[in-house]
Amino acid sequence: MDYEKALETAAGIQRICHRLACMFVERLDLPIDPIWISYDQPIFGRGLELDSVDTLELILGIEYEFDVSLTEDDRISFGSIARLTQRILEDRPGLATAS
Amino acid sequence: MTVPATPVKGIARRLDADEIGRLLPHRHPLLLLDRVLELDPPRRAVGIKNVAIAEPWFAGHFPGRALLPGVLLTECLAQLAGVLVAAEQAVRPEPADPAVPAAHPDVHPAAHPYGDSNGHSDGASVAGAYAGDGIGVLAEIKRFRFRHPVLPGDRVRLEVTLTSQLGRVREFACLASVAGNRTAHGTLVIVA
Repeated sequence: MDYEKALETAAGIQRICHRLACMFVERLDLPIDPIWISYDQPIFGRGLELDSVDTLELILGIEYEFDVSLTEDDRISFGSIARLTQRILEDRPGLATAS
Repeated sequence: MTVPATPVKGIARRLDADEIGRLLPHRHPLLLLDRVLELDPPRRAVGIKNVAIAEPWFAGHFPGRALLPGVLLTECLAQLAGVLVAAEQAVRPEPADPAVPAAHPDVHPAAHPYGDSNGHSDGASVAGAYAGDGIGVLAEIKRFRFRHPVLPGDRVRLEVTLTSQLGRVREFACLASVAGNRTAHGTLVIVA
């Protein structure tokens, strides 16, 4: 039972990661397919090379899609898509198990 | 006619063209704002742009059929947002203010964690290169619609409202109207 629950949570996390990758590509007009964005690659600097204007766009997107409000203080969460997913789950734990 | 200026925390609530010129770096022929009617930094501003046939662009846009270019209407709104940013900096010279609501934290440019990369978004890079020296520049124009032509003789009411902020990046909801009719609306992102 616990094992099944863990599987379900893992799948939920993957779903959120995928939604974020799709949102990045769509909102920022990135010239890549979402499947090529790995969930632990850095978002800024040498990773996806996003800048502060992109960040604001992502914050608005996350607010719209997940109803989670991020601020300047969440800068560490913008390290990677996996970290962003963790941050979203802190506010919306139900998303990991919702299908 | 001079506009009676009521000082609010060191900044006038209404601004005439000369006062606007002291807050914005723009000059003729591109200082487009004629007057600021309401100034409520950091959140909202209302301004006026009077359109005159003497403006240089009407010579070519279009000969025999004068029409204010939509980009200039957008620029008017951007300048009003610029006044708001400049007024905010005048009211609050200390960048890190704990009184700022958590949803709109403001940090000193030097402390900005995301920097200004030279990544895929050239507009933002250009903005980043100019921003920080007190000049606000346009970084993004989103979903603008122009519903009615703006003609010489029109008095355009401009309204900008801060909707989101991340450090030096600010997003404004913008509305331009003539005689109560919406003529243009959209969202502008300004880096200052």
